[in-house]
Amino acid sequence: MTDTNWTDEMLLDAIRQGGPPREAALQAIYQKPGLRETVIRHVLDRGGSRDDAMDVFQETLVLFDRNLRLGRFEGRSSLATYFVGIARWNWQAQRRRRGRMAQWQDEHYEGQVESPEADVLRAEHRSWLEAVLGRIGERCRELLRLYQLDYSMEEITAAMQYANADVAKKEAYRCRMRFRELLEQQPAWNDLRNPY
Amino acid sequence: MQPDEILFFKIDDYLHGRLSAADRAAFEADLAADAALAALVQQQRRENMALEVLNERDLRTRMSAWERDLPATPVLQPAGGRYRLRWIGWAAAAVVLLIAGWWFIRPPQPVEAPVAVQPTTPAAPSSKTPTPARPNEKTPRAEPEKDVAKNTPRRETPTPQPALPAPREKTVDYAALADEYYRQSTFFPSNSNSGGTGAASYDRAVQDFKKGKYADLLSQWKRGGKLNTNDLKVKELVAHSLLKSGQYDEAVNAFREIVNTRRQPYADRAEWALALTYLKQMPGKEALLQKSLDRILARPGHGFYGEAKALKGRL
Repeated sequence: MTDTNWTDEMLLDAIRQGGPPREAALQAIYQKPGLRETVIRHVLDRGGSRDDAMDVFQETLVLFDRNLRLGRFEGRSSLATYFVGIARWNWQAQRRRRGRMAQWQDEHYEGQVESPEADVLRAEHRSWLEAVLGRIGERCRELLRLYQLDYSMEEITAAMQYANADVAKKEAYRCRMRFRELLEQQPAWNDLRNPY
Repeated sequence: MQPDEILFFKIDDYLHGRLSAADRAAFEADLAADAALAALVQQQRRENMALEVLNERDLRTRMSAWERDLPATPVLQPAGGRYRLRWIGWAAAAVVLLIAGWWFIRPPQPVEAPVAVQPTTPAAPSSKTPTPARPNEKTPRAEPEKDVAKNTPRRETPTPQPALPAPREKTVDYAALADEYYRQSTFFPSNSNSGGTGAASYDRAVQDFKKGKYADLLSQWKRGGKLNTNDLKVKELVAHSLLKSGQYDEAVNAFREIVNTRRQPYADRAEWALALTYLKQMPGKEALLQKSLDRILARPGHGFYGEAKALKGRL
Protein backbone atom coordinates (compact mmCIF):
# COMPACT_ATOMS: atom_id res chain seq x y z
CA MET A 1 0.00 0.00 0.00
CA THR A 2 2.66 2.47 1.01
CA ASP A 3 4.34 2.16 -2.37
CA THR A 4 1.42 4.04 -4.00
CA ASN A 5 2.23 7.65 -4.79
CA TRP A 6 -0.81 9.30 -3.34
CA THR A 7 -1.76 12.77 -4.47
CA ASP A 8 -4.07 14.92 -2.34
CA GLU A 9 -6.85 14.34 -4.83
CA MET A 10 -6.43 10.56 -4.63
CA LEU A 11 -6.41 10.64 -0.84
CA LEU A 12 -9.49 12.79 -0.70
CA ASP A 13 -11.38 10.62 -3.16
CA ALA A 14 -10.43 7.43 -1.36
CA ILE A 15 -11.47 8.70 2.06
CA ARG A 16 -14.76 10.01 0.76
CA GLN A 17 -15.40 6.77 -1.09
CA GLY A 18 -15.19 4.85 2.19
CA GLY A 19 -14.57 1.12 2.59
CA PRO A 20 -11.17 -0.40 1.77
CA PRO A 21 -9.92 2.62 -0.28
CA ARG A 22 -10.44 4.84 2.78
CA GLU A 23 -8.44 2.48 4.97
CA ALA A 24 -5.58 2.41 2.47
CA ALA A 25 -5.57 6.21 2.26
CA LEU A 26 -5.59 6.64 6.03
CA GLN A 27 -2.71 4.20 6.38
CA ALA A 28 -0.75 6.19 3.80
CA ILE A 29 -1.36 9.38 5.78
CA TYR A 30 -0.46 7.71 9.05
CA GLN A 31 2.82 6.51 7.61
CA LYS A 32 3.57 9.58 5.48
CA PRO A 33 7.22 10.50 6.04
CA GLY A 34 7.67 13.75 7.93
CA LEU A 35 4.05 14.28 8.97
CA ARG A 36 4.32 12.55 12.32
CA GLU A 37 7.65 14.23 13.04
CA THR A 38 6.13 17.66 12.37
CA VAL A 39 3.33 17.00 14.85
CA ILE A 40 5.67 15.53 17.45
CA ARG A 41 8.04 18.47 17.13
CA HIS A 42 5.16 20.93 17.54
CA VAL A 43 3.92 19.28 20.75
CA LEU A 44 7.40 18.80 22.25
CA ASP A 45 8.29 22.43 21.57
CA ARG A 46 5.15 23.54 23.38
CA GLY A 47 5.61 21.75 26.64
CA GLY A 48 4.18 18.33 25.79
CA SER A 49 5.70 14.92 26.31
CA ARG A 50 6.29 12.29 23.67
CA ASP A 51 3.17 10.43 24.83
CA ASP A 52 1.17 13.66 24.47
CA ALA A 53 2.56 14.02 20.96
CA MET A 54 1.52 10.51 19.92
CA ASP A 55 -1.94 11.03 21.41
CA VAL A 56 -2.29 14.25 19.44
CA PHE A 57 -1.09 12.60 16.24
CA GLN A 58 -3.58 9.75 16.54
CA GLU A 59 -6.46 11.98 17.62
CA THR A 60 -5.67 14.21 14.66
CA LEU A 61 -6.05 11.34 12.23
CA VAL A 62 -9.48 10.57 13.72
CA LEU A 63 -10.60 14.19 13.30
CA PHE A 64 -9.01 14.46 9.87
CA ASP A 65 -10.86 11.37 8.63
CA ARG A 66 -14.17 12.54 10.06
CA ASN A 67 -13.85 16.05 8.66
CA LEU A 68 -13.02 14.79 5.20
CA ARG A 69 -15.89 12.33 5.16
CA LEU A 70 -18.32 14.96 6.39
CA GLY A 71 -17.21 17.42 3.73
CA ARG A 72 -15.70 19.94 6.15
CA PHE A 73 -12.43 20.27 4.25
CA GLU A 74 -12.83 23.11 1.79
CA GLY A 75 -9.61 22.63 -0.11
CA ARG A 76 -8.02 25.91 0.92
CA SER A 77 -4.72 24.22 1.75
CA SER A 78 -2.89 20.98 1.05
CA LEU A 79 -4.01 17.96 3.05
CA ALA A 80 -0.70 17.86 4.94
CA THR A 81 -1.11 21.51 5.99
CA TYR A 82 -4.68 20.79 6.98
CA PHE A 83 -3.55 17.81 9.04
CA VAL A 84 -0.91 19.83 10.88
CA GLY A 85 -3.47 22.60 11.45
CA ILE A 86 -5.79 20.12 13.17
CA ALA A 87 -2.89 18.83 15.26
CA ARG A 88 -1.95 22.35 16.37
CA TRP A 89 -5.53 23.12 17.28
CA ASN A 90 -5.86 19.78 19.04
CA TRP A 91 -2.79 20.29 21.21
CA GLN A 92 -3.93 23.79 22.07
CA ALA A 93 -7.34 22.44 23.05
CA GLN A 94 -5.74 19.75 25.23
CA ARG A 95 -3.55 22.26 27.02
CA ARG A 96 -6.53 24.48 27.57
CA ARG A 97 -8.46 21.59 29.09
CA ARG A 98 -5.53 20.90 31.39
CA GLY A 99 -5.56 24.52 32.48
CA ARG A 100 -2.15 25.35 31.09
CA MET A 101 -3.50 28.21 29.03
CA ALA A 102 -5.53 31.01 30.50
CA GLN A 103 -7.48 31.76 27.40
CA TRP A 104 -8.20 30.54 23.96
CA GLN A 105 -5.86 31.89 21.37
CA ASP A 106 -7.30 32.97 18.09
CA GLU A 107 -5.95 30.02 16.20
CA HIS A 108 -8.17 27.59 14.37
CA TYR A 109 -8.18 25.36 11.39
CA GLU A 110 -10.49 25.29 8.46
CA GLY A 111 -13.60 23.27 9.20
CA GLN A 112 -13.07 23.14 12.93
CA VAL A 113 -16.36 24.86 13.67
CA GLU A 114 -18.30 21.91 14.97
CA SER A 115 -21.86 21.13 14.06
CA PRO A 116 -24.43 20.75 16.84
CA GLU A 117 -24.45 17.02 16.08
CA ALA A 118 -20.82 16.81 17.08
CA ASP A 119 -21.91 17.52 20.65
CA VAL A 120 -22.80 13.87 20.69
CA LEU A 121 -19.14 12.98 20.56
CA ARG A 122 -18.00 15.13 23.43
CA ALA A 123 -16.15 13.39 26.20
CA GLU A 124 -18.95 13.50 28.73
CA HIS A 125 -21.19 11.44 26.46
CA ARG A 126 -18.62 8.87 25.50
CA SER A 127 -19.12 6.54 28.40
CA TRP A 128 -22.84 5.93 28.07
CA LEU A 129 -22.62 5.95 24.28
CA GLU A 130 -20.03 3.21 24.35
CA ALA A 131 -22.18 1.31 26.84
CA VAL A 132 -25.13 1.52 24.43
CA LEU A 133 -22.97 0.25 21.59
CA GLY A 134 -21.83 -2.54 23.87
CA ARG A 135 -25.43 -3.65 24.23
CA ILE A 136 -26.35 -3.99 20.59
CA GLY A 137 -24.19 -7.07 20.11
CA GLU A 138 -20.99 -7.58 18.21
CA ARG A 139 -22.51 -8.44 14.84
CA CYS A 140 -24.78 -5.42 14.88
CA ARG A 141 -21.90 -3.18 15.87
CA GLU A 142 -19.73 -4.43 13.07
CA LEU A 143 -22.57 -4.20 10.55
CA LEU A 144 -23.38 -0.62 11.55
CA ARG A 145 -19.72 0.33 11.44
CA LEU A 146 -19.28 -1.02 7.93
CA TYR A 147 -22.49 0.60 6.77
CA GLN A 148 -21.52 3.89 8.35
CA LEU A 149 -18.20 3.77 6.51
CA ASP A 150 -19.93 3.43 3.16
CA TYR A 151 -19.13 -0.19 2.53
CA SER A 152 -21.52 -1.40 -0.14
CA MET A 153 -24.18 -3.94 0.82
CA GLU A 154 -22.32 -6.46 -1.36
CA GLU A 155 -19.10 -5.86 0.55
CA ILE A 156 -20.96 -6.15 3.85
CA THR A 157 -22.62 -9.36 2.66
CA ALA A 158 -19.23 -10.86 1.85
CA ALA A 159 -17.51 -9.63 5.01
CA MET A 160 -20.25 -10.78 7.34
CA GLN A 161 -21.41 -13.83 5.44
CA TYR A 162 -25.03 -12.90 4.87
CA ALA A 163 -27.02 -14.84 2.31
CA ASN A 164 -27.38 -11.81 0.04
CA ALA A 165 -27.38 -8.01 -0.02
CA ASP A 166 -31.12 -7.79 0.75
CA VAL A 167 -30.67 -9.79 3.93
CA ALA A 168 -27.73 -7.56 4.90
CA LYS A 169 -29.82 -4.45 4.29
CA LYS A 170 -32.71 -5.77 6.38
CA GLU A 171 -30.28 -6.60 9.15
CA ALA A 172 -28.70 -3.14 8.96
CA TYR A 173 -32.12 -1.59 9.43
CA ARG A 174 -32.98 -3.90 12.31
CA CYS A 175 -29.67 -3.10 14.05
CA ARG A 176 -30.11 0.58 13.53
CA MET A 177 -33.58 0.52 15.04
CA ARG A 178 -32.24 -1.43 18.01
CA PHE A 179 -29.55 1.21 18.41
CA ARG A 180 -32.18 3.96 18.24
CA GLU A 181 -34.32 2.24 20.85
CA LEU A 182 -31.38 1.92 23.25
CA LEU A 183 -30.34 5.52 22.66
CA GLU A 184 -33.81 6.74 23.47
CA GLN A 185 -33.69 4.98 26.81
CA GLN A 186 -30.80 7.26 27.77
CA PRO A 187 -31.79 10.47 29.55
CA ALA A 188 -28.58 12.10 28.31
CA TRP A 189 -29.56 11.39 24.70
CA ASN A 190 -32.92 13.03 25.18
CA ASP A 191 -31.20 16.01 26.80
CA LEU A 192 -29.03 16.30 23.72
CA ARG A 193 -32.04 16.16 21.45
CA ASN A 194 -33.90 18.79 23.43
CA PRO A 195 -31.25 21.00 24.97
CA TYR A 196 -33.66 23.71 26.14
CA MET B 1 -39.26 -3.25 2.12
CA GLN B 2 -41.60 -1.42 4.44
CA PRO B 3 -42.19 2.32 3.84
CA ASP B 4 -40.30 3.15 7.07
CA GLU B 5 -37.29 1.22 5.83
CA ILE B 6 -37.39 2.89 2.44
CA LEU B 7 -37.52 6.31 4.07
CA PHE B 8 -34.70 5.40 6.45
CA PHE B 9 -32.36 4.43 3.61
CA LYS B 10 -33.37 7.45 1.57
CA ILE B 11 -32.50 9.77 4.46
CA ASP B 12 -29.24 7.93 4.95
CA ASP B 13 -28.40 8.24 1.26
CA TYR B 14 -29.06 11.96 1.58
CA LEU B 15 -26.88 12.29 4.68
CA HIS B 16 -24.05 10.29 3.11
CA GLY B 17 -24.19 12.33 -0.11
CA ARG B 18 -25.23 9.34 -2.20
CA LEU B 19 -28.17 11.03 -3.97
CA SER B 20 -27.84 12.46 -7.45
CA ALA B 21 -28.05 16.25 -7.76
CA ALA B 22 -31.65 16.07 -8.98
CA ASP B 23 -32.74 13.67 -6.21
CA ARG B 24 -30.96 15.77 -3.66
CA ALA B 25 -32.72 18.94 -4.79
CA ALA B 26 -36.09 17.19 -4.73
CA PHE B 27 -35.40 15.78 -1.27
CA GLU B 28 -34.38 19.19 0.04
CA ALA B 29 -37.60 20.68 -1.33
CA ASP B 30 -39.55 18.03 0.60
CA LEU B 31 -37.49 18.78 3.68
CA ALA B 32 -38.29 22.47 3.54
CA ALA B 33 -42.00 21.73 3.33
CA ASP B 34 -42.25 18.89 5.83
CA ALA B 35 -41.27 19.54 9.46
CA ALA B 36 -41.74 15.89 10.42
CA LEU B 37 -39.34 14.78 7.71
CA ALA B 38 -36.85 17.45 8.82
CA ALA B 39 -37.03 16.12 12.37
CA LEU B 40 -36.38 12.57 11.13
CA VAL B 41 -33.35 13.75 9.16
CA GLN B 42 -32.04 15.55 12.22
CA GLN B 43 -32.53 12.45 14.36
CA GLN B 44 -30.71 10.25 11.88
CA ARG B 45 -27.88 12.75 11.56
CA ARG B 46 -27.34 12.70 15.30
CA GLU B 47 -27.41 8.93 15.37
CA ASN B 48 -24.81 8.84 12.60
CA MET B 49 -22.63 11.10 14.68
CA ALA B 50 -23.05 8.77 17.66
CA LEU B 51 -21.93 5.88 15.45
CA GLU B 52 -18.70 7.75 14.77
CA VAL B 53 -17.53 6.27 18.08
CA LEU B 54 -17.34 2.91 16.27
CA ASN B 55 -15.26 4.34 13.45
CA GLU B 56 -12.95 6.00 15.88
CA ARG B 57 -12.40 2.81 17.84
CA ASP B 58 -11.76 0.88 14.65
CA LEU B 59 -9.33 3.49 13.39
CA ARG B 60 -7.40 3.40 16.66
CA THR B 61 -7.08 -0.38 16.40
CA ARG B 62 -5.77 0.00 12.88
CA MET B 63 -3.31 2.65 13.97
CA SER B 64 -1.86 0.22 16.51
CA ALA B 65 -1.32 -2.27 13.69
CA TRP B 66 0.18 0.36 11.35
CA GLU B 67 2.48 1.45 14.13
CA ARG B 68 4.08 -1.98 14.13
CA ASP B 69 4.93 -1.63 10.43
CA LEU B 70 6.79 1.61 10.97
CA PRO B 71 10.51 1.91 11.58
CA ALA B 72 11.30 3.35 15.00
CA THR B 73 10.86 7.12 15.01
CA PRO B 74 13.98 8.98 16.12
CA VAL B 75 13.44 10.49 19.53
CA LEU B 76 12.90 14.19 18.99
CA GLN B 77 13.79 16.70 21.64
CA PRO B 78 12.23 20.11 22.07
CA ALA B 79 14.07 22.67 19.94
CA GLY B 80 16.74 23.83 22.39
CA GLY B 81 14.21 23.71 25.21
CA ARG B 82 13.43 27.36 24.46
CA TYR B 83 9.85 27.07 25.52
CA ARG B 84 10.59 25.46 28.88
CA LEU B 85 13.54 27.73 29.60
CA ARG B 86 11.36 30.76 29.00
CA TRP B 87 8.79 29.49 31.48
CA ILE B 88 11.41 28.59 34.05
CA GLY B 89 12.86 32.10 33.72
CA TRP B 90 9.48 33.73 34.27
CA ALA B 91 8.67 31.47 37.22
CA ALA B 92 12.03 32.25 38.88
CA ALA B 93 11.49 36.00 38.40
CA ALA B 94 8.00 35.74 39.94
CA VAL B 95 9.37 33.89 43.00
CA VAL B 96 12.10 36.53 43.52
CA LEU B 97 9.53 39.33 43.27
CA LEU B 98 7.21 37.63 45.77
CA ILE B 99 10.00 37.15 48.31
CA ALA B 100 11.20 40.74 47.88
CA GLY B 101 7.62 42.05 48.22
CA TRP B 102 7.02 40.05 51.38
CA TRP B 103 10.33 41.31 52.87
CA PHE B 104 9.35 44.93 52.37
CA ILE B 105 5.74 44.76 53.57
CA ARG B 106 6.10 42.31 56.48
CA PRO B 107 5.12 43.79 59.89
CA PRO B 108 8.03 44.93 62.08
CA GLN B 109 9.25 42.09 64.33
CA PRO B 110 9.45 42.80 68.11
CA VAL B 111 13.00 42.67 69.37
CA GLU B 112 13.25 39.90 71.91
CA ALA B 113 15.65 39.73 74.77
CA PRO B 114 18.06 36.87 74.43
CA VAL B 115 17.00 33.87 76.51
CA ALA B 116 18.93 30.97 77.76
CA VAL B 117 18.57 27.87 75.65
CA GLN B 118 16.54 25.23 77.49
CA PRO B 119 16.99 21.55 76.83
CA THR B 120 14.15 20.49 74.54
CA THR B 121 11.52 18.10 75.77
CA PRO B 122 8.95 16.32 73.65
CA ALA B 123 5.83 18.44 73.31
CA ALA B 124 2.93 17.26 75.38
CA PRO B 125 0.00 16.05 73.34
CA SER B 126 -2.43 18.84 72.72
CA SER B 127 -5.40 18.74 75.00
CA LYS B 128 -7.49 20.48 72.37
CA THR B 129 -10.24 18.35 70.99
CA PRO B 130 -10.98 18.74 67.30
CA THR B 131 -13.84 21.11 66.82
CA PRO B 132 -16.54 20.26 64.31
CA ALA B 133 -16.42 22.27 61.14
CA ARG B 134 -18.74 25.22 61.04
CA PRO B 135 -21.48 25.09 58.44
CA ASN B 136 -19.72 27.42 56.04
CA GLU B 137 -16.33 25.96 56.59
CA LYS B 138 -14.89 23.96 53.75
CA THR B 139 -14.26 20.38 54.72
CA PRO B 140 -12.20 18.03 52.63
CA ARG B 141 -14.43 15.72 50.62
CA ALA B 142 -13.88 12.03 50.50
CA GLU B 143 -12.57 10.80 47.15
CA PRO B 144 -15.20 8.90 45.20
CA GLU B 145 -14.86 5.17 45.50
CA LYS B 146 -13.01 3.44 42.70
CA ASP B 147 -15.40 0.53 42.58
CA VAL B 148 -18.24 1.98 40.61
CA ALA B 149 -19.89 -1.30 39.77
CA LYS B 150 -22.11 -1.32 42.81
CA ASN B 151 -25.43 0.14 41.96
CA THR B 152 -26.46 0.84 45.51
CA PRO B 153 -26.31 4.54 46.19
CA ARG B 154 -23.76 5.53 48.82
CA ARG B 155 -25.16 6.84 52.04
CA GLU B 156 -23.63 10.08 53.04
CA THR B 157 -23.70 11.70 56.43
CA PRO B 158 -25.89 14.76 56.08
CA THR B 159 -23.72 17.82 56.44
CA PRO B 160 -24.94 21.37 56.46
CA GLN B 161 -23.74 22.23 53.00
CA PRO B 162 -25.44 24.32 50.35
CA ALA B 163 -28.01 22.29 48.46
CA LEU B 164 -26.45 20.99 45.28
CA PRO B 165 -28.00 18.63 42.78
CA ALA B 166 -26.84 15.14 43.66
CA PRO B 167 -24.40 13.84 41.07
CA ARG B 168 -25.58 10.81 39.19
CA GLU B 169 -23.88 7.66 40.37
CA LYS B 170 -21.55 6.34 37.69
CA THR B 171 -22.06 2.67 36.93
CA VAL B 172 -20.00 0.46 34.71
CA ASP B 173 -21.48 -2.53 32.96
CA TYR B 174 -18.29 -4.57 32.77
CA ALA B 175 -19.76 -7.33 30.63
CA ALA B 176 -20.93 -4.76 28.08
CA LEU B 177 -17.55 -3.07 28.24
CA ALA B 178 -15.87 -6.40 27.53
CA ASP B 179 -18.20 -6.98 24.59
CA GLU B 180 -17.44 -3.53 23.33
CA TYR B 181 -13.70 -4.11 23.33
CA TYR B 182 -13.91 -7.65 22.03
CA ARG B 183 -13.50 -7.36 18.30
CA GLN B 184 -13.89 -10.71 16.61
CA SER B 185 -12.31 -9.37 13.44
CA THR B 186 -9.16 -8.52 15.40
CA PHE B 187 -8.67 -12.13 16.40
CA PHE B 188 -10.09 -13.75 13.30
CA PRO B 189 -9.95 -11.31 10.38
CA SER B 190 -12.17 -12.10 7.43
CA ASN B 191 -9.13 -13.20 5.41
CA SER B 192 -7.84 -15.40 8.25
CA ASN B 193 -7.81 -18.95 7.09
CA SER B 194 -5.39 -21.74 6.68
CA GLY B 195 -3.70 -19.71 3.98
CA GLY B 196 -4.17 -22.43 1.44
CA THR B 197 -2.27 -24.97 3.48
CA GLY B 198 -5.08 -27.42 3.16
CA ALA B 199 -6.33 -27.07 6.72
CA ALA B 200 -9.91 -26.91 5.56
CA SER B 201 -11.18 -28.20 8.88
CA TYR B 202 -9.70 -25.14 10.61
CA ASP B 203 -11.40 -22.84 8.09
CA ARG B 204 -14.70 -24.57 8.72
CA ALA B 205 -14.16 -24.24 12.47
CA VAL B 206 -13.56 -20.50 12.10
CA GLN B 207 -16.78 -20.20 10.11
CA ASP B 208 -18.61 -22.09 12.87
CA PHE B 209 -17.10 -19.78 15.45
CA LYS B 210 -18.22 -16.74 13.53
CA LYS B 211 -21.71 -18.17 13.40
CA GLY B 212 -21.69 -18.60 17.18
CA LYS B 213 -21.54 -22.40 17.20
CA TYR B 214 -19.18 -22.49 20.16
CA ALA B 215 -20.61 -25.63 21.74
CA ASP B 216 -20.28 -27.59 18.46
CA LEU B 217 -16.74 -26.41 18.10
CA LEU B 218 -15.76 -27.36 21.61
CA SER B 219 -17.31 -30.80 21.40
CA GLN B 220 -15.52 -31.38 18.09
CA TRP B 221 -12.26 -30.35 19.74
CA LYS B 222 -12.88 -32.61 22.73
CA ARG B 223 -13.59 -35.53 20.42
CA GLY B 224 -10.23 -34.87 18.82
CA GLY B 225 -11.63 -34.95 15.32
CA LYS B 226 -9.92 -33.51 12.29
CA LEU B 227 -8.64 -30.42 14.07
CA ASN B 228 -4.92 -30.51 14.82
CA THR B 229 -5.07 -29.69 18.50
CA ASN B 230 -1.37 -28.86 18.70
CA ASP B 231 -1.75 -26.08 16.20
CA LEU B 232 -1.59 -22.68 17.94
CA LYS B 233 -4.33 -21.32 15.69
CA VAL B 234 -6.64 -24.10 16.83
CA LYS B 235 -5.74 -23.49 20.46
CA GLU B 236 -6.58 -19.84 19.99
CA LEU B 237 -9.92 -20.70 18.44
CA VAL B 238 -10.72 -23.08 21.29
CA ALA B 239 -9.75 -20.45 23.88
CA HIS B 240 -12.09 -17.94 22.29
CA SER B 241 -14.88 -20.51 22.12
CA LEU B 242 -14.43 -21.12 25.85
CA LEU B 243 -14.58 -17.39 26.51
CA LYS B 244 -17.63 -16.91 24.33
CA SER B 245 -19.46 -19.79 25.97
CA GLY B 246 -18.80 -18.38 29.44
CA GLN B 247 -16.23 -20.99 30.56
CA TYR B 248 -13.94 -18.31 31.87
CA ASP B 249 -11.56 -20.36 34.03
CA GLU B 250 -10.87 -22.73 31.15
CA ALA B 251 -10.49 -19.78 28.79
CA VAL B 252 -7.96 -18.15 31.12
CA ASN B 253 -5.86 -21.33 31.18
CA ALA B 254 -6.03 -21.66 27.42
CA PHE B 255 -5.02 -18.03 26.80
CA ARG B 256 -2.19 -18.27 29.34
CA GLU B 257 -0.84 -21.31 27.54
CA ILE B 258 -0.73 -19.33 24.29
CA VAL B 259 0.88 -16.30 25.96
CA ASN B 260 3.60 -18.55 27.36
CA THR B 261 4.58 -19.77 23.90
CA ARG B 262 5.63 -16.14 23.12
CA ARG B 263 4.87 -16.78 19.47
CA GLN B 264 3.58 -13.69 17.72
CA PRO B 265 1.01 -12.52 16.86
CA TYR B 266 -0.73 -15.20 18.93
CA ALA B 267 0.87 -14.24 22.24
CA ASP B 268 -0.14 -10.57 22.05
CA ARG B 269 -3.65 -11.46 20.95
CA ALA B 270 -3.98 -13.98 23.77
CA GLU B 271 -2.72 -11.48 26.33
CA TRP B 272 -5.38 -9.00 25.25
CA ALA B 273 -8.06 -11.70 25.20
CA LEU B 274 -6.96 -12.70 28.70
CA ALA B 275 -7.55 -9.14 29.91
CA LEU B 276 -11.01 -9.17 28.30
CA THR B 277 -11.78 -12.49 29.98
CA TYR B 278 -10.98 -10.93 33.35
CA LEU B 279 -13.03 -7.88 32.41
CA LYS B 280 -16.01 -10.17 31.83
CA GLN B 281 -15.65 -11.36 35.42
CA MET B 282 -15.38 -7.96 37.04
CA PRO B 283 -15.45 -6.77 39.74
CA GLY B 284 -14.25 -10.13 41.15
CA LYS B 285 -11.13 -10.25 39.00
CA GLU B 286 -10.07 -6.65 39.35
CA ALA B 287 -6.54 -7.38 40.57
CA LEU B 288 -5.92 -9.86 37.75
CA LEU B 289 -7.36 -7.48 35.17
CA GLN B 290 -5.17 -4.62 36.34
CA LYS B 291 -2.12 -6.86 36.35
CA SER B 292 -2.78 -8.10 32.84
CA LEU B 293 -3.38 -4.57 31.51
CA ASP B 294 -0.18 -3.39 33.20
CA ARG B 295 1.76 -6.15 31.48
CA ILE B 296 0.50 -4.98 28.10
CA LEU B 297 1.16 -1.33 28.94
CA ALA B 298 4.69 -2.13 30.03
CA ARG B 299 5.49 -2.85 26.39
CA PRO B 300 4.64 0.09 24.07
CA GLY B 301 5.23 -2.14 21.05
CA HIS B 302 2.52 -4.57 22.19
CA GLY B 303 -0.07 -5.19 19.51
CA PHE B 304 -2.86 -4.07 21.84
CA TYR B 305 -1.12 -1.27 23.67
CA GLY B 306 -3.58 1.35 22.43
CA GLU B 307 -6.61 -0.73 23.35
CA ALA B 308 -5.24 -1.52 26.81
CA LYS B 309 -4.52 2.14 27.41
CA ALA B 310 -8.03 3.11 26.35
CA LEU B 311 -9.59 0.40 28.49
CA LYS B 312 -7.54 1.33 31.53
CA GLY B 313 -8.75 4.88 31.11
CA ARG B 314 -12.33 3.67 31.22
CA LEU B 315 -11.97 1.65 34.39
